[in-house]
Amino acid sequence: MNVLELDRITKRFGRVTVADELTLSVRQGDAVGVVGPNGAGKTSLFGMISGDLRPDAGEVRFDGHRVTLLDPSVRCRLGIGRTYQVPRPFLGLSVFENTLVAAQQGARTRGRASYALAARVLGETGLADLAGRPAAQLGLLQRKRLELARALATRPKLLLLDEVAGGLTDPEVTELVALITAAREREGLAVLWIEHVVRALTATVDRLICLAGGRIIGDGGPLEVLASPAVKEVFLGTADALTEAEDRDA
Amino acid sequence: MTYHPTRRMFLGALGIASIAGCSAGLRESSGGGQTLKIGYVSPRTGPLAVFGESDDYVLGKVRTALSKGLSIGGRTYPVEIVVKDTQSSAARAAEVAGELIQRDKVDIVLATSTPDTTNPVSDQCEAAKVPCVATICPWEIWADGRPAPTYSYLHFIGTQQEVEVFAGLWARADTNQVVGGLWPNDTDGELYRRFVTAKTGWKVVDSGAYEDGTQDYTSILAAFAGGEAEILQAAPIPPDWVTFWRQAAQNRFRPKIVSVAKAMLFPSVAETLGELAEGLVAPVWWSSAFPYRSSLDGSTAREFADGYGRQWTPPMGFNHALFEIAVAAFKAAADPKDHAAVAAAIGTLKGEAISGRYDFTAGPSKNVSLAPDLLGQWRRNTSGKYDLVIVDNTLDPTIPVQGEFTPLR
Amino acid sequence: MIAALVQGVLVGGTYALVACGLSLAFGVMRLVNIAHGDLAVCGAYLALVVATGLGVPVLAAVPLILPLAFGVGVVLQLVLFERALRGGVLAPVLVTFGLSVLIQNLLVTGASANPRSLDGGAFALAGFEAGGVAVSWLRVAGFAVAVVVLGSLHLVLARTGFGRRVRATADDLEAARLAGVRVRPVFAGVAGISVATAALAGVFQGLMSTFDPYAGGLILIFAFEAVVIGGLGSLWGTLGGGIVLGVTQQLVALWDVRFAVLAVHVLFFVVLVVRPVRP
Repeated sequence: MNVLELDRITKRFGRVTVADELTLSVRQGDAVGVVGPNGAGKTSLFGMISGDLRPDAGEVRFDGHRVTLLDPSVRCRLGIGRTYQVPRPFLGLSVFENTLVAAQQGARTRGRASYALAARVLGETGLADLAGRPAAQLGLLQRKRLELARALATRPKLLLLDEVAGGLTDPEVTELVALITAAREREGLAVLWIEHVVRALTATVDRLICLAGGRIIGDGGPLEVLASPAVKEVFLGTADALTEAEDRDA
Repeated sequence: MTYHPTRRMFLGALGIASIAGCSAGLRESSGGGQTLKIGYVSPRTGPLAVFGESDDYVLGKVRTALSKGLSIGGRTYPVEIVVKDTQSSAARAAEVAGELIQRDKVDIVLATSTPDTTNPVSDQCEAAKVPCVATICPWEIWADGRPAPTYSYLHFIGTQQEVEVFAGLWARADTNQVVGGLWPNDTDGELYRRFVTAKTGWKVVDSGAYEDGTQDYTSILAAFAGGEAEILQAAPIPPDWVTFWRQAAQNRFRPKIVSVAKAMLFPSVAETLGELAEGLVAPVWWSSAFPYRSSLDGSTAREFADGYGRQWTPPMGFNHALFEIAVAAFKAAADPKDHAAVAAAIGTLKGEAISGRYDFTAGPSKNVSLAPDLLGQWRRNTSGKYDLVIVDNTLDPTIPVQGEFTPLR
Repeated sequence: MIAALVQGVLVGGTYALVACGLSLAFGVMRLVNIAHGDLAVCGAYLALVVATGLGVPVLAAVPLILPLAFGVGVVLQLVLFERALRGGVLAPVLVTFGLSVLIQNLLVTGASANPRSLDGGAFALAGFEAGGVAVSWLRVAGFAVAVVVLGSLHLVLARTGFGRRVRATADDLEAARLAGVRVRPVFAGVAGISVATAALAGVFQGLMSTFDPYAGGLILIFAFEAVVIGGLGSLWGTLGGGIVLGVTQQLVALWDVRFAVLAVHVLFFVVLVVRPVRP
């Protein structure tokens, strides 16, 4: 069963087309990687799924609901969780409060259950010891974990991950990937994952799509997509983020 | 009542610039019409709106009285009154005066209530050579710092005269002759400061020129108490007075005589203060007890006040008098449509209006007619409302006193 | 000197009471509410109408006024501010300015331009002396109410789910939505609280001095200065800002009363220059 269906969505900013009649479906429990050069429309795609952006045309369906015009908070409550590329924790709240808000509002839990949920995701993301700290005091890795924890606390059916590994060292990436894999196995949630660090993706996803100019130019097994001529050409023509990432992996 | 000469001069200059082009055309057209047009400028809205509160009633009375037109030199002229609101702003006052002169082509402009109206309107009329009569602005503020007026006139009281009357009253009570002066940083406050300080025989404890809108008067109260002031002379805006006088009660400052210019003119302020208003002394330049009649329809001050339906306010009398003076001027001029003739005629006027006697021939300054100033004391009447009871009639003994002056303690 | 400090602190409390609603609305919604002072004046008029209408003392009317004012705030947010906030930085300023003018004119039409006041009875005129300083009970009460209001607001924000949602939304609107926070009720609640505290401050203003339909402007200026001096969006900062305003005014008045109010504006200006506003 498809948890997410994008039906010919189109979005333009002036002359730039970030989604061009884009159609995509994600099945329950799937882990789908998203790659593409800068400006390919990856983050905009997430915006239209999570509700920050409204498509000009087309329809977004989630878990059987038409959500194209719904507020992000309503989509969150239906089960769409999202992390930002640059973490955006609530700086004035403690680490625990950050996940508590998500647990109470996103997952609609109350009282004791909400506290338990918030504490659990902090445990799972390794932030339990920092629960009482103001979020503003966290470093980058910790903020990335909190971003993930807050998304998990909304109990999503679909998790949108935007460059979770960017800016982290290799051991940190490994650690984070392990966290995500564990969460997936535990919750059975679907993941849509934008990443430049390809190693992180290939280790986790079973399907990879490549976006360019608002279209899908590759969709299938990760190695197969990366090897396809169209995808190679797109990356060769640009500042070659893919190779860069591969170099770093090596 | 804040008011800045520099701003006025600037506005005056603006007015001159805007009118210069039209004044030539004006003179041609002014001879053609049959109707006498009177422009009336007052603050109907904004912080000064309390002055214009009775305008609708006053204008109604005047329109009824003039509904058959004016018969002058065997000719009957219909009269039209064009009313403009200053929105309590001097800039707006200058603007609407310009409109009256250029667009409505009025034959005389009447301006009332506070320097923010009287001065910019008078300046506009001087520039455009249109007759103007103003009131409710102490003559010193109207006359000082302006070139000698030709077309504009003022009929009202003066601050120096008012200080003399207050001092006469203070002398009636047994005090240590120390006067606490609550004078804000505005034109009125400055004038009181100047004239009271100049009076010999009284020691003055000055509040300092505080800003209008000050919320806390404890330091001033401490200074008054420290200087042992037994007399208080104040010229604040109404809200500040209420704040000050309440804090005086909280701090147990109670002088023997409290004389308040400006703020205590209106019954609404007395109602606001409640029993704290009892015994406060305020100037009376008009009251329903004045023994004068309207020269337009013969009604007495009492009938005029009672017809209002609400509690009368002092501006009613003087605003009505403006129209009486305008009519007298039209009648005295050889040709009521000739602006120069009407302006010259005002300067010869000497007569009686519902507000009392006016005399433009012998004022303290050119084109000024000085009105007498009386003193009253606020007292609760039998129906629980507060009345301003006349206790001093030195300057016009034809107006009867209504009670004896009694100090607060 | 001590008298000036005491009075300054007490006056500061009243400034803070008006300012806290302004601070909250700005901190959470980025709403610069030009009509805040006018809403305070409305509160005073409401108290007057309720107290005289029901024949009860003004203080007894307060519990009735607060929920009403809260409701007004909610409605204003939903029908007016919400749209304005979507229109960029300038739109809320223009819309609330328009609201301010509208309120003033409605009040003039409905209640005339006469200055009014609230009768606090004997309590409002009572005072006591402590250490040679004459203190008014009303001022003390005003200060106490300000502290209680700010304290309760602080507790609500720090300890309740609503407070967490408010803080999360204030920190990052989009991220709050993504965490499932429905922003509309949060904003409506904040607007309600803002207007309710404004109305309460208006009642104290009416008890201490007078109000007329145009009194809102001056109230707004002092509130705005307290907010800026105290640091935007911080409640205790707002109290501090109010106190700094009050004390500055009193101390300068000791030296020369002419510069008392001016000094406050200068201080405000200096703070703006030294520590510019960063929304």
